[in-house]
Amino acid sequence: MTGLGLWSGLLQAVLVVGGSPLLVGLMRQVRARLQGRAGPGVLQPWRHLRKLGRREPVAPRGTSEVFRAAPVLLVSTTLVVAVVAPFVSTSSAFGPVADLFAVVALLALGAVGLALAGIDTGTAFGGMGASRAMTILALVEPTLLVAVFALSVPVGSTSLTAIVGSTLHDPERVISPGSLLAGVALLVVVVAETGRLPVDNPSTHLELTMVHEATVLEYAGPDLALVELGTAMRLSVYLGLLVNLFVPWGAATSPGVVALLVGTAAFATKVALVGAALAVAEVFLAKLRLFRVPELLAGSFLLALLAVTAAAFL
Amino acid sequence: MLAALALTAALLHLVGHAAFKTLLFLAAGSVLHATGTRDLDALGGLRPAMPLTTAAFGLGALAASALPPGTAFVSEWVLLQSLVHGLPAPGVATSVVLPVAVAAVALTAGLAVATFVKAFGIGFLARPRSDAAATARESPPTMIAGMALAGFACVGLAVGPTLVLPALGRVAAGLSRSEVPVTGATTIELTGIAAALSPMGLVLALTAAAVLVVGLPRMLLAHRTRRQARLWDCGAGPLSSRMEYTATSFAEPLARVFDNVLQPVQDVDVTHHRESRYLVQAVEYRRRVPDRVERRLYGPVLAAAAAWGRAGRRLADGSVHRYLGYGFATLCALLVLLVGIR
Repeated sequence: MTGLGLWSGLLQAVLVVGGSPLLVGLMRQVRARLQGRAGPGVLQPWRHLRKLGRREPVAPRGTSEVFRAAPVLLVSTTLVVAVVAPFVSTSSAFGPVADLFAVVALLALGAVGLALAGIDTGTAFGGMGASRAMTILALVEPTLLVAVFALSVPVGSTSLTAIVGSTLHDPERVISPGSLLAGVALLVVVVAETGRLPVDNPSTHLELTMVHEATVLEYAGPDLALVELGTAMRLSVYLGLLVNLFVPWGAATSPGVVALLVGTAAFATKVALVGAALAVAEVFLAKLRLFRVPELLAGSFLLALLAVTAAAFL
Repeated sequence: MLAALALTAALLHLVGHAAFKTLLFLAAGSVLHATGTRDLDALGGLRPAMPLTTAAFGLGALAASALPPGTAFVSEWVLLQSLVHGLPAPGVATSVVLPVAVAAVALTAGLAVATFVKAFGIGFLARPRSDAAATARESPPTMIAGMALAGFACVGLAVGPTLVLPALGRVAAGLSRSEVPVTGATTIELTGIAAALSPMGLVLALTAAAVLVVGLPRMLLAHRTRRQARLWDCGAGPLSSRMEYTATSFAEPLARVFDNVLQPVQDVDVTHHRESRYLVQAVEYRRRVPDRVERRLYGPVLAAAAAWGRAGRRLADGSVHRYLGYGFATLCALLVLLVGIR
């Protein structure tokens, strides 16, 4: 635990909580412009959160404390990841938690909380969303861990700080076949885990296709605000991990106001660029049928497997 | 070294398994005592009536599903570390076997998560799916005490696996004649591998974050009481428990993804009205997932044993003459054999 790590942890918490609704707003705005609409502006998700936060809290009849605890669990797991991961600097606020396996398990815990909340409502929608979300989560897990394996091979560690630090010192590794294959596999994982197209459509309420929206259908008021904030933070954290595992340049390596500011700006720019690119790609994509999603995930699993083999031999 | 680490992971999983499986079995026993059924499709809504059993099963499910902070997560992490760091060992076999092993562990962990979300969510949350579940009462204190003991073991192993890990590491090191693979008082540190995990730190960090997430909005926003409201029923209300997802419907997508392996048997019978083919009178749907191991492995083995037995029975038909004939034939065969050997 170092001063650099602590400061960057604090900065990252503020950056992810404050910036993730802006990222969602940016992605929606990019989509709107490409579809020929004016769009509501980048600040719209924050206005929406403020509106929801002022509303009266509602408890749907028959739900238990699992339903009320799930949004808190979602935001807190994501917040822990946002603090410990090396985003702004190459150092972590709490090294023994910043392990790649631990981080992905923490993010899965938040998703499991939401699935349980969906079942807890006792409606057909909640159960449907939970069932689909858990199916996707179970099928994503092999790709995710094998891709983590591939990333850890050249470094000899699964610690996030070790991987980020070593990529920073050895830039050629980014264009090695193993790293590129793992990158594509992880991109598919991120798309599946954050519920973006083509796995899930974040802007639909059409009942037959919903996954994430179906599990959170019963939330209203401040609870819904927490769920939306948590979902946005999850997206930023996943994109942040993806960005810093492969393109860590700009991250601060020494404590200092200038270095930390440069690191913050670099991280925000990189995540915004990747988010905008994802939004552009989404304009040209249609949602896959639910039972075609396993094929996509099987493809990404194959890439991850090849990545490990490539990392071992090349 | 890595073998010792993998053995340590297995031993830790064994210890954790002893704790969480005990807890889960006791909680399942408590549910069986209260409702008289083991069918998940008939359960649900046990949370208001049986809060302690629900909490016990939830804790056991968390410990079993390889999510932090749980016991199985720590053993999974140590096992994955031993697999991930085995790649530098030379040979094509390791570079193929190890990723596949990691993938198998990951798929098992993912399916375990789905399984326990199903068992806990469908079994205990939402609305009761049968009268037995609706009239359930909490089990007597003696049953609760048993669950509490196992629950404390689960919590202890999840927060402080370092209490038992070094001892298990020494056992594994003794068996594989290498150094002790695991050290650390609160943080798990692996010998020779740059990896560390602090289960206690993880719990503390999660708690701190949860306090922040709950506390900060309370300070900023005026606190108001929760209003009870109707669930969204598409305006058609009221929702009945027959509209809920059941355990079977929850697992259906996964069963369909793996239908090459599971080979479920299902059929749909549609009965039409007599007046018109376009009007449906009744739809009957049956689905069964036969156990393939039982059908393909045990079935043929049992059938072969039975056939062998029947063939043997045909030899013994109760005729004394035939038995004497067998004795004579055996004697002749023996004599011929002896001549042949000499």
